[in-house]
Amino acid sequence: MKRKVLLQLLLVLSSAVSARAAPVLDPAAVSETTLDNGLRVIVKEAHTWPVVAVGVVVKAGSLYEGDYPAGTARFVAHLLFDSERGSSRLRPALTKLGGVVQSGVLRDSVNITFMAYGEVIPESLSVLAEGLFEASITEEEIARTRLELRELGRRWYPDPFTRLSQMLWEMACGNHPYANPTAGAPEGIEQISIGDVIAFYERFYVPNNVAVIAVGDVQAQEFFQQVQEAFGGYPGGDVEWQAPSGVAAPTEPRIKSDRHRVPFPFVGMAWQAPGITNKRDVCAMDLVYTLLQAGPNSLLAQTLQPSGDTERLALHWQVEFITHKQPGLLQIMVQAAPEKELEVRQALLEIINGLREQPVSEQRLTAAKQIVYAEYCFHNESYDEQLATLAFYEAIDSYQFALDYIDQVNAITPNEVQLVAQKYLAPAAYNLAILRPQVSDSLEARIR
Amino acid sequence: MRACVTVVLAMLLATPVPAVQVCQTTLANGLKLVAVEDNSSDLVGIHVAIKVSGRQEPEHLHGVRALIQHQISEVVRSQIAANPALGALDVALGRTGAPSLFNVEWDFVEASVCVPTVELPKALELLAEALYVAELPEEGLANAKADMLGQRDKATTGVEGAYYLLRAALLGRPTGLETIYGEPTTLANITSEQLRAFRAWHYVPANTCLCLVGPLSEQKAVAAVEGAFGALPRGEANDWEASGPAVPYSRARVGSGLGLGQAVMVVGVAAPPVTEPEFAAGLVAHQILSGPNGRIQRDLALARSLGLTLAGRVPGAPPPIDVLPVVVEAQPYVAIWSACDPRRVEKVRSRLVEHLQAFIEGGVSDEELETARMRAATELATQLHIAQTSAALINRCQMFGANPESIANLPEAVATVTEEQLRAMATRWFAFDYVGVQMPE
Repeated sequence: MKRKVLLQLLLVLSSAVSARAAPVLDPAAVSETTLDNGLRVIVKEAHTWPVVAVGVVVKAGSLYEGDYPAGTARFVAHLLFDSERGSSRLRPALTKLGGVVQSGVLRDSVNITFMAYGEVIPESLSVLAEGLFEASITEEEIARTRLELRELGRRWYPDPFTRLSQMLWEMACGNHPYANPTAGAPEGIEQISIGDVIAFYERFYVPNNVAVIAVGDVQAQEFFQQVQEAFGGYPGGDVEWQAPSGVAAPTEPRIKSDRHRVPFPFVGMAWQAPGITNKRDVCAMDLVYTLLQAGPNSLLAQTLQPSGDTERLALHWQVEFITHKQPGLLQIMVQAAPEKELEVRQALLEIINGLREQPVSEQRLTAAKQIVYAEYCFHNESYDEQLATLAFYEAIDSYQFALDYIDQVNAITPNEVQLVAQKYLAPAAYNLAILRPQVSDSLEARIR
Repeated sequence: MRACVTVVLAMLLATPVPAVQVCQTTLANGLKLVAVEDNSSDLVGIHVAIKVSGRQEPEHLHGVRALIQHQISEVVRSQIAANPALGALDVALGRTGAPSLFNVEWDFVEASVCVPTVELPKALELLAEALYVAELPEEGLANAKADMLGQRDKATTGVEGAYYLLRAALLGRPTGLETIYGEPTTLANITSEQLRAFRAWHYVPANTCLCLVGPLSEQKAVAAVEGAFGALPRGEANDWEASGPAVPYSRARVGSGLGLGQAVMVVGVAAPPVTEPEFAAGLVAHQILSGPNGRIQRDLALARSLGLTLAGRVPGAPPPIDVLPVVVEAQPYVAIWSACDPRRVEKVRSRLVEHLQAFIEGGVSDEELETARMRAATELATQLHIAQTSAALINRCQMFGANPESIANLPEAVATVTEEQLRAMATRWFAFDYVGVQMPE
């Protein structure tokens, strides 16, 4: 009888809870603290299922390798997070606990995430802390890491869009570390010494440059205590990092072409785009990104692959805009239809000019905002994806932006979309990269 | 008719209470609905299963369900392309992949998608219209048949033929009924009228199970489904019966594949269905075998039998052997896939059977069991916490007769499986082995 009453009470309480809409990342479910050593801890509680994603993000992406050979960030992250045999043995130790381990290297940060049944989370924190802060780096491990990265590089042949994107980063960023491939440059891998690795590791892998984040079936206060026990004993360090000076947008188009294993030309255009310090512009640029490529009625679809009898100009396309700590790029990359390279270039410039010259309609902007929301929901579908979002923004600014993001996007007006296009997408301020099919020298001469 | 139950997973008085709210109801037209409230994201997973199996296809219409699903995909694709207001839904379907939105299994057909909560009414309307009402495009039938024939060829002569042969061995299916795609002669003769008549007979609410998982109260979930499906006529429930049980003797089926460099073999044993209390132990057994640290990839003798020590293998590439995931279906199985030299097939088969039947003897170390339990619990809880996979899993449980509420307790059940339970499960289920082999021509 008592059990029945309790069950009914639970039903009443739960229906009251379900009366509200569930935000994608509910601020009411998120808590944070900072340990005395400067380590940040962020928790998003979700108690429906007994699973937790716990991860560590370190502000040690390629942005921070300006004083080191290109690829040092990747080298260190691989040594610590990916090696099955390294001294930290982080990955095998976590795998043995029965969870799933993922790691990644971005331009601004590196991360490792562990997704597991809730019971093993306290133990995983000790493994993470030791693996992160107690790695003893030896010559033998450096040699093994170099071999592994060399082997990975040998087997990796970038698809045309990836190759085009890297060309655009190199053209747009010059000597800025954002020009370095996040996967590491082959020549850089050979130059990296044990001194570089230890210096980079000791400088950036310190508690006050790290955030520990959990999403799932944990209670925040209990988790803070567990993190304190596992990570609290490591001292903070002096990161001493000077941000590299920004990159100036070009005053006239920069053009570069290359040969690749492609049947038809791939055309890429990139403009400088806002960094996280200008959040309003970031939100407006996200809408530009969406208007350009999302859905069957996007600006690119209408122009490059029109319905009806009009000849199509392109076979596939990709648009990229990732928010970075410093200004990044808006990239439009297109696989042109046969003999349509010049027309594609012209069409892309016309689309961009259209965005600069007149504001988009309210109706179109509303549809774009709905798509941004849908994309945002899908990018935060699982606990590890929600963790990745919180970690991403915490590494470049603050996780808070992830919580406010949709409200900020919804506040953008058609005028602001036009203004951001005028501010960043100047008619002459673009980088143009072209990948053409590999051909014989005589044909090459004739094309020129 | 409606029974709403709160399943409390942990101690009732602990705070916050980890609870899974499972609501089960049946609409007036016979559609069975399970709704699970999960507020951890703003996405709703939708899974629709229609109980129409290969057994219900008359001999001259074998493959008709695959044709219908293909046509329904086309309907959805064209409706979205014609309506800009469905742009956000396009993102959802683009992510799912419209062709894979609709799937045909031997025992049922299904639609599976995940949408932002705000798009739920539109998505449900689109699905209801496409599955039960929309005119199937006459002009697309020839293309659909050509596509089915291509898929049938792949399924019978390619690598995946071994999976179909394993299932045919396990369930005692006769030659010609291994796949869901039909035979070239029957496919060619299926007419639009037959397609429509078959659909009108079987694709009805009375044969449908639907599951929603997302941030919806019971009332909102029921109202949303009522709004889209409630007005559909009930139709007649068919005489649906799921496959199984496994044949009570060991059995092998052998086929031949075009262009295969090696023999492709799947060796398996029956696993307990989700309605059995031993289901959790079956999941743990799978984890003991699978993965880079599992028994199969650690077995050096097996690696030698497969010829893995031969020069020319790509360093670091995964070995050509893996354990297939255990799926919720009428008669699940634990099975190992391998590609090997045709001359070594028997050697590899007997070694794999040894691995599978070793569970009957026990001998699982504490460490091995602990890792496997945690891996199985993680995998299950991970599936359940993602709206789309959760809806599919729970709806399949509903369809095959398990109480959907019991699924909430599964991760914990998996995390506490003992060696004795594992051995008892294996003794009952792992005695016979089933083999599907696709030999190179």
